[in-house]
Formats: sequence, C-alpha cells, structure tokens
Amino acid sequence: MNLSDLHRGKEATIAEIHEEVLALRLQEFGIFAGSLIRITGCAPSGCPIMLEAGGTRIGLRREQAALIKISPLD
Amino acid sequence: MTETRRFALAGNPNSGKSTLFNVLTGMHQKTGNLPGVTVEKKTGKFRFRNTLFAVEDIPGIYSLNPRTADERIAVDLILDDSPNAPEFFVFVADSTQLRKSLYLFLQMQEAGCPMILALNMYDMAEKRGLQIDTEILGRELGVPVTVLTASKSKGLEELQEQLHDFPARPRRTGALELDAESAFKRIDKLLEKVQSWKANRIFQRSSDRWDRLFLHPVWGYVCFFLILFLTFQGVFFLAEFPRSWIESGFLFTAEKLEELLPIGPIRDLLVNGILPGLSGVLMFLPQIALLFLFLIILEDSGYMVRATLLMDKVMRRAGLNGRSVIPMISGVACAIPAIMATRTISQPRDRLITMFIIPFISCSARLPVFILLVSLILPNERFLGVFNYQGLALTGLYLAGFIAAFLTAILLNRGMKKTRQDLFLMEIPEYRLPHWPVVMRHVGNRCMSFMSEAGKVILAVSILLWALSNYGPADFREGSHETRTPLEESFAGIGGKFIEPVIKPLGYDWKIGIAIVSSFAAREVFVGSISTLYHLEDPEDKEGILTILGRPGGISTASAVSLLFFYLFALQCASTLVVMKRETGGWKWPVIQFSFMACLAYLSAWAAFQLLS
Repeated sequence: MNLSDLHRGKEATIAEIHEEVLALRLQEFGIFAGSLIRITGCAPSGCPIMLEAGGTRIGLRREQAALIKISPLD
Repeated sequence: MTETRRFALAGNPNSGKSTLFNVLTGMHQKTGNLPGVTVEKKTGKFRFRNTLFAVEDIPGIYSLNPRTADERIAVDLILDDSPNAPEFFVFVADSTQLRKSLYLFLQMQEAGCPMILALNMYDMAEKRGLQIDTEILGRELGVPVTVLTASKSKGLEELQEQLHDFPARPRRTGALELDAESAFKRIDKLLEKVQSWKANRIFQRSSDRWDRLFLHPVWGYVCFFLILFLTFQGVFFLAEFPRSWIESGFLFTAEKLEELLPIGPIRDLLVNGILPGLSGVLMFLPQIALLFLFLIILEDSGYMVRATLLMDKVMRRAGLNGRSVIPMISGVACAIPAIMATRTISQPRDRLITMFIIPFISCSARLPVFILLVSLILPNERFLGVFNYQGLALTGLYLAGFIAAFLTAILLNRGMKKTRQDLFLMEIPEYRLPHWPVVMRHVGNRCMSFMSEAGKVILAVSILLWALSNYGPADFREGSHETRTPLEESFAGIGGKFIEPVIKPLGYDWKIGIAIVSSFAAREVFVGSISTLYHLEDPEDKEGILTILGRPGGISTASAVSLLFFYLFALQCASTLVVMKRETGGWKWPVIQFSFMACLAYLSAWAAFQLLS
C-alpha cells in the first residue's frame, strides 16, 4: 500500500521510500522508514496532500506520496 | 572603549528569528511565516552593558545540505570561516518543534559553530502543557540554553545576559559526518529526558479548524478570491481619506509659496514643477502602504502557504509549481523582491518561467497610474451599495495581469525543454497572529524605501521636465525673454510632437507621449509627469489634477483605457531589468522579456483605442 492510498485521518508506518531525493528531504524533518505518519487532509483538488509525521506538518504532491510505501495500522 | 561582538541568528524557517531580530535591534526587517522569505542578508546593531552587538539574520533552513539557491546562501553564511564571519550563533528554535530544530543544531555543532540555544515561542509550548528542562538540555548539548517569547519581548534580558557572557573563542572546523538517522535517535532520547507534558491537556491544533475552511473544495477558493478582492477594495476605499488630505496639503503649500515667493523661475520651478510632480506620487502612498499591510498580514499569518497548496494544481497546468504562487503574489507589491523570491524554486526551468512572468503581475508602481486613470473613467461610487466601481475595475486589472502571466507561462512551457518534475514538499506552519510592531515597522520601511527611491527619480524627472517644458529654442534667440514659452514650443513639446506619429494610433497626444517617455525608468513617474505637464500648460489653473484631466482637452475615456492596457503590459521598470540580468546571468532574458511585453502593450493599447473611439 502506498501513502497516496491512505485515507484522511488514518495512521500508518512508513515501510520504504522509493525515491532518494524525497527520502533525504523527509529525513531532515526526522521522518524515516518506521516513522508513524498520518494524513491530515488535502488541498481542495485532492493534491497536494497534507500529512503529519514527527510532529511536523507537510504538504506533498500525490504522485510523490505514491512513492512512499506504508503498512497501515488498525 | 566599547568592543563590538558579531553574532548571527540561525534556525529553521518560521522559528521566529526575524521577530527576535526585530525586538533585539529595533531595526526594520520583515518576519515571514513562509519558508524562505528572508532571502537577503539582514544586519542590525544594539547595545547591552557597554558592549555593541552586531547581529545578522540568516535565512531559515532545515539542514546544512542546501538544495535551492536560497538555502545555499544561508549555508554559506553559516559555514563561513573568514575573519569577518560571525563569532558565534544564537540558534533560534521553535519550542513546540524542538525535534526538528535540533537536527540543524547538531549539524551546526558538528561543523564547529559556537552557539547559544534560544527556545523561542515558549508561551505557545506552555499553553500546550509542554515543559522543557533547560538545565538538562544545556548540559547534554554543552551550550547555554535560554527560553524566550520574542513576539512578547519576554526573556530578552536573559538572552542578552548570555550574549554578554559568551566566551570569545576561536572557531573550530569540523567535518560533517552525522547521519540523519542517528542524529534523530539521539534527539529522541534527549527529548524524552527534557520534555514533559501535563497529562490532562490534550492539544488540538486550532489550525485544523481554519484549514477546514481555507482548504475546503468550494469555500477555499471562494475565500482565496474574496481575500484578494477585499484587499483591493480596501486599498481603494480606506486610502481615499488620507489621499485627499495629502492632495489638499499640496494645494495649500503651493498657494502659500505663491504668496511668499517673488515671481521668477524659482517660484515657477517649485510651484509648477516640483510640487505637482511630488504630490502626484505622494498621493498614492496611502494605497501602497495599505497594499503592503494586507500582503504582510497574509504572509505572516500563514495564509500564503495555504494559498500555495490551493493553487499548486492550477499552477501546474501552466508548467509552474505551487512555489511560484508566493513570488507571483509578492509581485503585487513589487517585481524586484518577487524575482528574488524565486530563489526558493529549485528547478532552473520553473524558476526562469516564474521570473519571466512576474512583471505581468501589477506591482505597486502601476497602482498610481491605474488609480489616476480609473478615477478618470469611473465614478467613486458604490454599486448595489457594496461594490466600489473603481475597486472593481482595479480587481479586474489585477486579474488581467495574472491571466496574462499564466498564458505567457503556458506559452513558455510549450516552447522550453521539459525537465524532471520538481519535488514539491512544503512545511505547513500553524496559523499565527501577526506580530503587529514588526508588521507596522515593515510597512513603514517599505513606504520609506518607496518614497526615497521613487522620490529621487521623480524629483529629478520633474526638474528636468520643468526645464524642458519651460524653455524652447526660441529662448535662445535674442530679444524673446519677456514672454513665457508656450508648452507646445518648448523642448519637451517639440520632442513630444516628434514621437506623436508613433503613439497617435494608441490615442495619445504629445503630452501623454512625454509622460510615457519620462516613465521609462519607473512607471509611477508617469503620474508625476502628467501632473507637471498639465499644470505647466496653464499655471493659473488651481484645480486638482483629476479635474483638469477630466475636462475636454484632458484625457478621453478611450485614451485612458488604452493607457491602462499599455501600463498593464509594458515593462517600464529599469530596476526589474537589472535584477533579471543579475538573476539570469545575462542580458538575453531581460531583452526578450522587455520586447515581448512592449509588443503586447502596444498592440493591446492600439486595439483598445480603436475599438472605443
């Protein structure tokens, strides 16, 4: 499952980030594989999506979110 | 004898560095609630206990690995080890975002930067029930730690005390070996020790409630356009009163000067040259101040980031990205900072397109020209009791600028080679009440720089224009000094008549032609020149400029509309061209930009006049 498939308000842990630049960028916010991530909402057009991880809120485009593999929590 | 100690403020974006800088130095400087808004190096000075401190505000960054031009500037400033580099740093951290802040802190520590850790916005942390043990934190990190709330000037003295006591020591240089993962492991362990939460308080971000409105699929866009619309309505409506005071102040001064000074060239230069020129520009100061005020509030409150999110998808259609929204909206104030703000765009191609289209966005220098012309065409009345006609027209003009910018972007996007999509990743700060002293100081500062820069040009142009319009070839022949040279026979008149054939199809006479030529360096000069020229034509006329222009023989509606189109599109701004040259590294792009916009301006003005007359 990818982050872009995660529903609003749901939590998951990051399994893998398939893009190196994106991974490096997220690292600076303290977000790695294994971090808890939550979708808090999205822009009106559905993109970018807004997520919260490591106490930071971030806007990310949907196709970039699709590069983040997650394992959902229930 | 006093010694001077140099230090710099470093930290993440939105950690309140600029606010701290302001309360420390009392100097004028903008604080942005927007990643990457502090593009330029800002310095200031203050004194504490006989020690003079020189402070530098470094743009906010997240790490020492730069990705954009903007971030590179900041990293270079931090890693600078030349003799005039800062002696030490105050690392400003948002107390509620300590985890993220400490990563850069550890990197800087590893790079050998001597630091004081300042936990800013401590009131916010307390409000959320968060407590931070500064003693343990300081011991573990090996640096002095202090808490403060810069926006309320709380904890300043303690910080100044620590600045004063900070030991002078040579800076060491270290290699960067720290990897993010182990750094955050260390940070998490540390935070477990120093952070404690009051258990009974569960914090809910109030920003979420606002985001539900501002990012709503329908209301989000409604709010966006409503905010822009209200801004321009407010600019027109609220500025009307101070504007009329300024105008009558100038008329009064002119009358007094005429009474006091003897008849002669000096009185004439003052009353008919300099005063009308200056008043033509000063009259618009209230509007400019209000526009800056609204923009700064939008920026500092965090709304601009939401606008970026809102518009990203739309912008991508034009090959731009959400990040282009901020420079474009800042372009409403002035193209120059807007072009510099594009440094936050990491893709060179996207950056170039954004820079190219920014001059289409109507800047504050166009505002005086627009207001003058719109006031000529439309009454200052309200329609349906709410909408001000002039305000509506102004909104329309700004929209037209944005649309032209978009279409140009699409055109460029088609024409230029595609590169990989830029990574769009943006931190979303919480909504924040702007810090009013900082906002007001910033507005004042912007107005002052507008006045001094525009004022200088306008003063020079008014004097030149007065001289050229008062003297003609006839004055240099013998025996003709008794009578005043009519405007038509002056040097300016002859020059204006010479270019008249070119501008005639646009509906302009030679007087407008002179005003356009005089405004090549800066658009707002047009207003001053028109005002000077029409005053010179009949110096006995004591009416305000709008009345004079509105009469037959002034500017007709068709010509005014044509002028609006001309100024909407023409790149009449020397400073923009210079900045474009600097940012693109050559004259190629500024020249293309200038010619493209000039053609568009001429053709649209021509079409408008031909249709209306």
